[in-house]
Amino acid sequence: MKPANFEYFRATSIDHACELLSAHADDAKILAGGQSLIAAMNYRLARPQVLIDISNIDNPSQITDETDGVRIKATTTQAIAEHDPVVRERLPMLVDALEHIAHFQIRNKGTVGGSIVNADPASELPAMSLLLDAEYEIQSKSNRHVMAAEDFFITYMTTALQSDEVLVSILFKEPPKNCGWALHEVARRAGDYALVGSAAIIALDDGGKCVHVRVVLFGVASTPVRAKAVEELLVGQVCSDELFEEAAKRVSEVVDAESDVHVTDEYRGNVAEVLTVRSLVDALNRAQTAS
Amino acid sequence: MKLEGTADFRYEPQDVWTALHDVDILVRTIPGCKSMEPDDEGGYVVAVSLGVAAIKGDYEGKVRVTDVDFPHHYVLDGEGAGTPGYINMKVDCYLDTVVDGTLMRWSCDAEVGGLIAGIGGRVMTGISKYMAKQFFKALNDEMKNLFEEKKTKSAEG
Repeated sequence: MKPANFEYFRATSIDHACELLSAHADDAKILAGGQSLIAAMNYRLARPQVLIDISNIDNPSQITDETDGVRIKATTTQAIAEHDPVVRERLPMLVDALEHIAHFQIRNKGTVGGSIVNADPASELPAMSLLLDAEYEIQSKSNRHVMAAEDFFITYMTTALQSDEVLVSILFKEPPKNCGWALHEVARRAGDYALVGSAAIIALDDGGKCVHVRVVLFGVASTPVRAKAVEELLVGQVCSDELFEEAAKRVSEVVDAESDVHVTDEYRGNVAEVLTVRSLVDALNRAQTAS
Repeated sequence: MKLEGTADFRYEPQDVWTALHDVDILVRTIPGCKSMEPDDEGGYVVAVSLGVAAIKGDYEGKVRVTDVDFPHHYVLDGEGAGTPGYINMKVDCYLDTVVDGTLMRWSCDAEVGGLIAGIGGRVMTGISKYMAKQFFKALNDEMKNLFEEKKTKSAEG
């Protein structure tokens, strides 16, 4: 298939992109890596009248090492982030997630910001944003603000990003030193979107008690979800497999899955629970080895 | 499409009622609201401009409050249309006194047509919930300004 007709603009800077967006806001889409948008346009699921291409914007410093974590410019390709020494050193869990995105050919073009803004509930980077308390730097022609990832995802493919706004960069916060982490997905084939995915981070104090925990699920609701009810049961506790199984029962509170051509909602619920236990067990193992 | 939800306020039902019927406050708190002017039929003409994908565009509509039982219950009747489609809705609002303030229960019966009707119920529900959350958060902030300023002033006076 070929896309419907559209007008194409190549932005030379984020400011330029904002100018163009403000002139065409209601009809325009930002084009970054094009790994979802172009496919959607070819199937005519998306018919933007105007494309504003930000993939050629000159970005001398795509990834910056900051005190709180690592800032990645939205237009950075997933492959560059995946192989970046700073990301590998400070956010190994993000590298793991990036490796789960489709195949390397796609990661060579697909961008970190593009995947987030596309907001597919089964995709990895929106989920990692919740896992790593990410903050999004957002810009429009007249305004620039920061939004927590927690407030960003509204529903399927829909975010709080307004039609005249561009995602500029993402600050992924570094979790406590010596934390353990894990990510598990069930997909029909390697590289497919996850039918269900789960990620966890655990940090322990000297006595072996859990001091920091994040549990995130994706592919199980209309947005990625943080399972706060599960986390609450673990904070301050000495973790064990039994406790994880108990806590994972609370996953059903955040699962609001639909049945689709692949699996039923019941299956998604069950797998979400199982994967949560696996992520927690593996995260704990890593945390114990690290400390 | 049916939607329902609740919102907590730290103020008495009378105060919540006042805020919910204050045009200036509503213009500032309704997501994307540009203006709200009284019409000749006891209602208001409202202009809203939305930026969230899928429903983005300019809308104009009318709202009217009926079935008033101050300060416990009212019904908000609204209709609006814009480039992306039209909406007719009826929102039933109850204000209940609870220990630490007011619990508002609302249920909305909406009929959506035009392009936005093609979006699908789950997406519409997600967007509506998001907008309701934004509205009640803004309203809570406004009420904090309105009533706590007043308290400070009367304490000084």
